[in-house]
Amino acid sequence: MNEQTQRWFPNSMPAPMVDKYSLPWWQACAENRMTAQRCKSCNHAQLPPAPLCSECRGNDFELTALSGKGRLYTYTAVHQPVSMEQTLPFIIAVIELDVEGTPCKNPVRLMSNLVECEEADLEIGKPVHVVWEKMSDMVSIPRFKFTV
Amino acid sequence: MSRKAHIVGVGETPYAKWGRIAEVMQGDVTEHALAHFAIMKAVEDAGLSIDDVDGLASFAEDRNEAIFIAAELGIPELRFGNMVWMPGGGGGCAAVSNAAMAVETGQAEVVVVYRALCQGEFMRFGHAAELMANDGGGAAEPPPVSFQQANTLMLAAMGQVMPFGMLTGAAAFALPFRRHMHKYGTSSEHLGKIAVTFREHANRNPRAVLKDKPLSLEQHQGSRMIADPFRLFDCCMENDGACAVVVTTEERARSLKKRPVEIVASVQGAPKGYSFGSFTNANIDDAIYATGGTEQMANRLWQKAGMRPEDVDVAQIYDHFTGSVLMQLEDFGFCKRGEGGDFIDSGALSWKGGSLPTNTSGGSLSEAYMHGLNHVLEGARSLWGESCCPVENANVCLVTSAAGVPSSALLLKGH
Repeated sequence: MNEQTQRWFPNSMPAPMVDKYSLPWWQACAENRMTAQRCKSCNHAQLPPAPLCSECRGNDFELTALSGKGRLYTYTAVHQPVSMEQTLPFIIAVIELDVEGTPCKNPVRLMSNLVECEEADLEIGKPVHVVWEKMSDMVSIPRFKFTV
Repeated sequence: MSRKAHIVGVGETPYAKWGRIAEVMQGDVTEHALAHFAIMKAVEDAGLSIDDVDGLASFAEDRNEAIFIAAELGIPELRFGNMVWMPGGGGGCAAVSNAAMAVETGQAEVVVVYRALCQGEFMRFGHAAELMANDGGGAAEPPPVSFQQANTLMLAAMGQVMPFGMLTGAAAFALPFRRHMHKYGTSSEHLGKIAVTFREHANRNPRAVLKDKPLSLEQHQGSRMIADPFRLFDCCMENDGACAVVVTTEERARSLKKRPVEIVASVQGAPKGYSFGSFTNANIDDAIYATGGTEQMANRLWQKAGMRPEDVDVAQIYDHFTGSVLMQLEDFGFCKRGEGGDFIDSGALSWKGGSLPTNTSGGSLSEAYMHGLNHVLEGARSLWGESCCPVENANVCLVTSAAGVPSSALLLKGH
């Protein structure tokens, strides 16, 4: 099955609000590429992208490609709708993204969603991988699934 | 006599369920009119008049800005006006702290700290999601999903997480507490005991919105899930009303009608890289992720005051969510990290015989949600012997404002 065409959330979900620094990260998402902002001076990885490295205050960055694999750091099953046509509950998850094989010196976390999982299966530390939800030609949202 | 800052009066409007303020105020009122009533009551409580007030302070992007409140109240000359950083209840104690700095440095003599909330008139925080969802509804052919421009730092931070449905405090603060449960085995029953204890306190408080509604642990456990593990009764209310606190110097306080309450020490702030806490920041340092984020600040407070947790007789702990209370108790050193559940089990929070009577008015969970400024009012009342859940010989009270976002706290002492 082609996961790129799968949908889990309606279009009426809030759209990303971007600034100069976060837009390139979202544009990489639109190409289904998971990245993190890496400081070229000290290899600190940060998300969301910002004008300065919070570790060394450097401002020379690149978006480093990540595998899109990671682990569930924490989660909540939300029982209140965020948009009208939504299935409840939905899972907000913090994902610790794997940086193995990249110059990044620290794992970096991303706020996202877990999809296609039962509440009973939710367990902190379990491996996950990114799946992309194409909302439009311009916007793809990274969500995650448990890696079986 | 010194210019050391003291609390000399407190006051509030009746508190109402959101949208029901007309029922308790005998007629519909606006949010800024509620601020006026609360300020006038607090000033009267202090034995002062509006003509004595020369400073105003609030927080959380209070819509009722000092210059307009001062004009409408007819304050003779406004010499100090202050709004603490950012939305959220984290600025409550900080607003009192800023008022204290103003009187101690001679910027002003009498500063009133106020917070008005009329979510019947404006948007309800817990229902941001529904408003968002309705936005643009009705269009025959909705435009394709595209990026929107974030034109404030707050929107840039929120705009990164809103596409994932992160819009409410319940979800934001459930994330760190879920991790606390994972690390330490804390349970929903621990949270239930916090809610039940605060409700017992509110049941004695005629000002409490939920004064006539008892709550059992079974009812808590049976209440609907909002953002797992937070059930309905783990979440604070949304209310309409206003409250205010009068701050002046020790010298001025001496001639007033109440025993002044000393602001022994105050702190405000956030850990490194905290931003808007667990709301927007998935990268809070692992060492403090499953905490209230207030431990550093708490240590500064104890140091400044020359006090320890054992010196506190009564506490008013910010309770937007039960889990945040438990993690703050650990942050402030009332128990060890991870032992908050056992501390709750010991009955510590009860006004009757607990080792740390907490939220003796019922707090935001059961008295009213006034963004935590009502906790400062109750802090002063608990030292005046005016609390509905009096703690005998209480002399030192801790008040905190929020957790999981930038926060602030006060240590108050009776005379």
